[in-house]
Amino acid sequence: MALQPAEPHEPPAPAPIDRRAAVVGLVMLAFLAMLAVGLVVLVLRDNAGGIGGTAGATPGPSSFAYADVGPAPALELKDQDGNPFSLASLRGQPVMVFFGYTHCPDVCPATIGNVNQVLLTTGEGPRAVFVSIDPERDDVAAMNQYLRYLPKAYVGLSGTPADIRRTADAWGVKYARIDTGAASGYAMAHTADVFLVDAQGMLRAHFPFGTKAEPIAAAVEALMAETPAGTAGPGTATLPTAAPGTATPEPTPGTATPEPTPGATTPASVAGGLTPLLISSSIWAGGASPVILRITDAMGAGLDGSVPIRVRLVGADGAAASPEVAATAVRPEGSKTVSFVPVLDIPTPGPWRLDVLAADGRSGSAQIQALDPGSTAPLGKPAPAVDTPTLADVGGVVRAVTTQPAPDLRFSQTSTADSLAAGKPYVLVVDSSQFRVSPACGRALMMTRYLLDRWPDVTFIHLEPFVYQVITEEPVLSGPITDPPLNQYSRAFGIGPAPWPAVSMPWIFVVDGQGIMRAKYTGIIGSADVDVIVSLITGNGVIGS
Amino acid sequence: MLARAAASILSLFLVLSVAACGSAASNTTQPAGGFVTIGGAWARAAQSGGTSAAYMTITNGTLSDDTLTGVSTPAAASASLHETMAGASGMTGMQPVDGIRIPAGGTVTLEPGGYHVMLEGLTGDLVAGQVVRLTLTFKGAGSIEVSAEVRAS
Repeated sequence: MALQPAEPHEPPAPAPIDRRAAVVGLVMLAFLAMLAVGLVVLVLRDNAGGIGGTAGATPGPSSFAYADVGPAPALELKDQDGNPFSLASLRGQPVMVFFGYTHCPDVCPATIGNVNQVLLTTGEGPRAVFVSIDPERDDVAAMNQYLRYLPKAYVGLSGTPADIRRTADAWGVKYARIDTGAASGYAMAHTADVFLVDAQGMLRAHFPFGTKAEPIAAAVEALMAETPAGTAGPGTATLPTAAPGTATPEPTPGTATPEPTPGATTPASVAGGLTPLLISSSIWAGGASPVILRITDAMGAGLDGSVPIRVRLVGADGAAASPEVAATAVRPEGSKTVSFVPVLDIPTPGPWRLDVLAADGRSGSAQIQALDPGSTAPLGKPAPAVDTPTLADVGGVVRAVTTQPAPDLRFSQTSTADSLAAGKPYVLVVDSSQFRVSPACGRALMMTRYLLDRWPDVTFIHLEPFVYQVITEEPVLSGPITDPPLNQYSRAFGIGPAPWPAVSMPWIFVVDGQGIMRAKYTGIIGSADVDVIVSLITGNGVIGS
Repeated sequence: MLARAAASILSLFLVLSVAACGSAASNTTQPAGGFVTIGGAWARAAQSGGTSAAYMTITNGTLSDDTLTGVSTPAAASASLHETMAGASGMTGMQPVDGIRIPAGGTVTLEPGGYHVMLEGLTGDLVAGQVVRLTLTFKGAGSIEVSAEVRAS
């Protein structure tokens, strides 16, 4: 993928050097003076806020700016008229870039509403690029239809699944399909930041979902007011950069995931004709971590599992960090796509490269981010020997085992110890509908309820993570919601100590019939994740076995 | 038969008159000791066949908890309760919810980036200024009809 370096534009009519220097100097002096009295910070913070107050206090635009400014990653996809698009074609004006999908009822329209408001504030000039991360439903025609009702400043991009995944990876954007079992189809979870690219094609700032239009408009106007390239370096007076470490605001508690810096991400190399697409939503350092991949060939077609695939882990220094391991090809029943699952021992948390090698000589690679497992139950080792409470254990008091409003009691019939004794794999869903310590709470339970019907030979167990009492049918937490007390069972799985405090809920642990921990997930979890792992450990859907 | 028809016409009239006299177009129903009130309902403009969302503020003035369990509307093939949330993986997504609990004496707001009514398969364009009729079903308060104004965002 060709990353376009910023070509400094020749200023059309350069002002006399000394006058321009004086202006820049004055602006900087004024800025420093305001900084001294804390005015800038106060004004910037006043402009920020969450959508409808849901996101809580959001930092001002200064902390949205990247400390390290680099060329924006490529967007080499098809526009809404079916023509090849390149971000370079929008040089000369600031561009807001965001990722979403046209079937998105809430998040993407909210983002579009904000972007429209920015465009109203700034007037003509700035452009907006909407990149679909739903290649299954959003083709050129769908984007064209969707854009008819949006301002002329918009471009709508779509592409093949491989192109979209490669583009999203380069921007540090994650997405996962969320099947809910509803007739309506599926939803997509995705990174919903608005990225800001300047007139020279440099990635300058990003705004997490929930940021109001005002700070985005202020940043766009600051970029519009910048003198053409060649005078001052990017990131000077008009768009103050944040101190290192604050460039990535955390919109929710429990976001301990190291977020990749889009500007610094190296696109996956596709030298050998294969493109691995990363499906796993949690990949762990220090243990036997399954990594779910889908692999497409040069024509964009998915590999069907007939050619054996081996995978090796490569560090930042280019040295192989693991021997080659065979990837298991899995196609869960009813699924159209084949997943490849190498189980890797990743030495340390952070970025790694995966080289994918096919037996017929083709190859490809992908970037992954390994999470720090902290003290959570290690992968590849026996699962903690705990006996989770069942409905029978608590005398049939439903609220004592689940706080879900209309619970599916199949989640509360069998304990972890019972399942192990029966030699049955189990999926432990550590989640709470009532004690919502993070916005993702309750969702793991909703998702696995659909999987429960798919896998009758697997035990699904719901574990409430916290200590609470049931007072006249009402669950009451035995401590503050901001620091909820974890019960012995969730603590046995290692949740609590940094970097995974109580507010990192929900979690899912997948344990095989021999009692070995095979996979674990935190936060928003794609439904393919658990489905593929269960398919793998039950052998039901493994190709060539 | 006739009496039943008359009763349903009368109840329709009552609902409409409540809607007409509340300045914030609030609709209410009273199971015991107070009212469940819906205010500020709106839906986002979208194209026929597409997807949209409706938002509102629900206040439970009764003495017992209630749960919003479902929504129906002639404006869409399917209407369901969803919640948008962000997770540790850095993604923002949404999931269906079985119900939205409205505590006794409490208020819950359905708003962008949080709880919303997802409207799928719109039966016609939702154009700003139009009104969409929604029927909300509560465990305690039963059915409440509400008019949601279509807005651009």
